[in-house]
Amino acid sequence: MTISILIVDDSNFSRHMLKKAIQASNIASHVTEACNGLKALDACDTQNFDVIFLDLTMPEMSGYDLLDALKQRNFAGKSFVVSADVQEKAVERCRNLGAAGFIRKPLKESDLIQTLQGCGVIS
Amino acid sequence: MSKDKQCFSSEEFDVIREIVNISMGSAGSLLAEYIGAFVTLSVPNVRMIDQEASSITLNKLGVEYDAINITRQSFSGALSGEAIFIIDNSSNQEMSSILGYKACEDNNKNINTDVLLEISQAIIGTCIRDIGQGFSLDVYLSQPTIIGTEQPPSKLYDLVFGQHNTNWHDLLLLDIYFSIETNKIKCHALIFITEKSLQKIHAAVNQLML
Repeated sequence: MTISILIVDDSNFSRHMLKKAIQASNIASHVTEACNGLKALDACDTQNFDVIFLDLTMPEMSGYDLLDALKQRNFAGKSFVVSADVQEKAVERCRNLGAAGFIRKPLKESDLIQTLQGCGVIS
Repeated sequence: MSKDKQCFSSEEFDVIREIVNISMGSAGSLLAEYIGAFVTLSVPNVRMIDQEASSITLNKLGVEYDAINITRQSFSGALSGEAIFIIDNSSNQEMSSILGYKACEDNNKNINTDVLLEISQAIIGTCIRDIGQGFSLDVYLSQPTIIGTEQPPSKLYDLVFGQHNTNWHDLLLLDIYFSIETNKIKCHALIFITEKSLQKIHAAVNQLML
């Protein structure tokens, strides 16, 4: 099964690294990119995503606001925060906003696989 | 600007900003543990500056503060430069209170210099360590020193560059801002990377982009 993935990060480099990790993990996927929360919501208007990876610190619309908006829209897929902001309260806030998991930057391929397996996205 | 100025492309700046972002996340997490509160992180500001731009930047930044307290911490190795930590009196007093220090340990001072040095070292140390790791560049930190306490913000430029303003042309500035809204605490870490490190950063960034 091919997983439809949306990567939301203002850093092109960060998106590139996540795409590389997804490819290296042999996850069958179709990846779309957005550079902030607003663009991500635009993408969600036209496509259905199984998984959304999102950063927290972004201009225009932060990751927290995006999680909140996805919750309001009853997003049916799973959202995962990929962030360097590893404060306990940040992780807790993300969980409360509906995030299925939290992956620490710099991203490790093993963390990606473990998180997706833990949530049943991949076996 | 000097003729041989090292320029970074927008893609290269994006990589540098992401490395700084990761270091900021670690430092913010540490600060959150110290204070026991949520630290708001902003997108770090990364850019090349010359002497004129540094004056404008520091004057603008000073407007955000009342009386300021400043430390300097040099770093050397493949990554070299100076890191400046800025915190205002009210934030220092609030941190002192949270950490269980007396608000005033020194005679005739309204700020606690132990707290200033401890927080400065924790934030700058974490940022510089992670930036060095991010670029795979060796970096060695000196001890922080206090270069001003309870100073008017208008003196920021003189305090930071007063003794060094003739020896450089262009610097890479990494400007990181932390705020804790529940406690009205705010502070800045300014990291100035010298020209001699720019080529090494350039090579490291291009390696990361592969």
